[in-house]
Amino acid sequence: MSQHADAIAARAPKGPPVRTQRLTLGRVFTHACLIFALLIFVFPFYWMVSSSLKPLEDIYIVPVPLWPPRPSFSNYLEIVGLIPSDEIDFRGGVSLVRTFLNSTLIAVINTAGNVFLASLAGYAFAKLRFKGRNALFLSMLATMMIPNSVGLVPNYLIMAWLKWINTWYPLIIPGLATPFAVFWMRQYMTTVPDEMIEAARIDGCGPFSTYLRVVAPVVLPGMAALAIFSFMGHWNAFMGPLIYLNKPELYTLPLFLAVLNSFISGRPTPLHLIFTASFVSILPILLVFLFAQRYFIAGLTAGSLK
Amino acid sequence: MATAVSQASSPIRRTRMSRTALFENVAGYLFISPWIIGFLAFEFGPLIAAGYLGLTRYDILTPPNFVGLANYDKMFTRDPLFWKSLWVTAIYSLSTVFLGVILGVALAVLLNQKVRGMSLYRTIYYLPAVVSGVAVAYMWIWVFTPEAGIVNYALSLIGITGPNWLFSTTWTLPAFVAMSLWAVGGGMVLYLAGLQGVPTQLYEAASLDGAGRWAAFWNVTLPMISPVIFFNFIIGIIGSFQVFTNSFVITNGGPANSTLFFVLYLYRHAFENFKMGYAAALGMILFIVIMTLTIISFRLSNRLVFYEGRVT
Repeated sequence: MSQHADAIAARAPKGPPVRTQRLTLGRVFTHACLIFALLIFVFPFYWMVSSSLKPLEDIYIVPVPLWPPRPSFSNYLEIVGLIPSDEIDFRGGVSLVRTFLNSTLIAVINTAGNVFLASLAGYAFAKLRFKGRNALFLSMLATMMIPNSVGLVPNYLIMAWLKWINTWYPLIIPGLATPFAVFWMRQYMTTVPDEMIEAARIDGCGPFSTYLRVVAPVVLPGMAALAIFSFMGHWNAFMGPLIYLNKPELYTLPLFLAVLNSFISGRPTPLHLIFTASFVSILPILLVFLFAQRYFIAGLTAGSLK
Repeated sequence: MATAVSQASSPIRRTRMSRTALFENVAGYLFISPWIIGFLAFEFGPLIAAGYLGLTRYDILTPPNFVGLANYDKMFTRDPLFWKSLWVTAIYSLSTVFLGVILGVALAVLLNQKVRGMSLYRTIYYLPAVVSGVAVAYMWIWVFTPEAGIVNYALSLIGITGPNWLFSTTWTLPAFVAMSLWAVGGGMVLYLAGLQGVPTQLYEAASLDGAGRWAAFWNVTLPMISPVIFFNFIIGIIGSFQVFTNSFVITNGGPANSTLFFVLYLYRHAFENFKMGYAAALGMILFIVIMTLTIISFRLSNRLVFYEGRVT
């Protein structure tokens, strides 16, 4: 890919000095824009981190000092309950640690299930012959456009009818084998050569063992990208937990954050603790992204250009 | 997309007898059954149910009461907040999608100029797109705080007294648009990949024809990445019409309903007022609006989007 970029850049006009100078000015301009944009993208994160290292009084210092004057990790210790706090009153067993674990569990179960079921369905759509396959696939594509919020009310009623309110099922089950995930995996599956599948068949593999032994290893990058999407989606999800959960011990991290104010008795609003909890909640996503971004960006671009 | 399906449907030659074929049929349906069940139970079923519930009055405690088109009649003639929320959402959606495309393409073009450290820039520009939700909403409250907020501090450096962003009926919606533009890196990554896929010969041909940089961008780059732009446009419209978390956490629709987004309005009817019938009807309107916009976009795309006969 970068060959194209290099080639384009290499064709930059070499000519009279006037042009070179203009080009240099252009370069300066480009870098100025890029660095300006960089600051805008990074600063809110930086601010969140630096506020989480400040005691409450220092948060209100104007203009905001670039570096916390008295940095300390005590906010972190306080929010996870390691040092006693007279500001937080965690009622009903709700705590940052508990909701963090809840969110992790929900996101991991859903991600694993979604990747497995969606890749199986994607494999069927790409490589198995069955009646009505193309019609079903096209109808799935059409349904990808249906906005989720349309079914909000009926979905709630279905979950209530199933007695799933105040359980994690409504957050996990509908997120398995979503149309987007199936479509995504199907696109990857089509790149697997038919000869490989044929060879596995001749060796006596049935459809499932062909999937498991031959196809799945080849589409692992696609699965990785889907796993990251899936995890992020569930980690950040807010409306589902808001609607379906009202027992504090079941809360997810975003829901905990949203009600944090009501668990805090201190006045004024302890922004330092809110910032700390917020940063803790985005940290896993940042780490997942930074470590897996190779798969992520490659997968993302492959998916959109297909 | 139809061609993709027919290309892929040519695979395994049928060598063995129909028992294998039968087995494969069973396996195929078995493998896609999770999607089919999920689709019927949590998508298609609810859509049909929403259509019916929209014609009823339903408070959960007593059974639904069929009222015909009364909900829609009320919505269109006696519910100013319905129009307000539709208007707020439409303004927000169009602003974020159009500005998002322009900014995203601009950043991608800048990054595509063989810049040193390109992949680092790309990573950092993309970061805001992976975080969202309540934590980020809290961050925005503080960023837009009038006295201690960073936005007004930056404005004060160039001699501007910034407004009270989140408490002003004029400035809340622009602030929300700015929040969404912070995540513009998501689209940018896709445009960048599109730019890197534009064949060099096209630029050579353009420069032989005497095209300058601007003309080359307008006549070569833009048409070549127009499918990616279109993809982002559709995804953006569908997504931005359904925003909820930021308005719920940051302003709860205020001040004076200036950030009463459509889904927030729907949520209030369903889960605060328990008017399930009315909320379902609102959902149907959302469905129709998004479908209409999608269809219009696809129609326009025939004229505006350039699809090269290429294999990717």
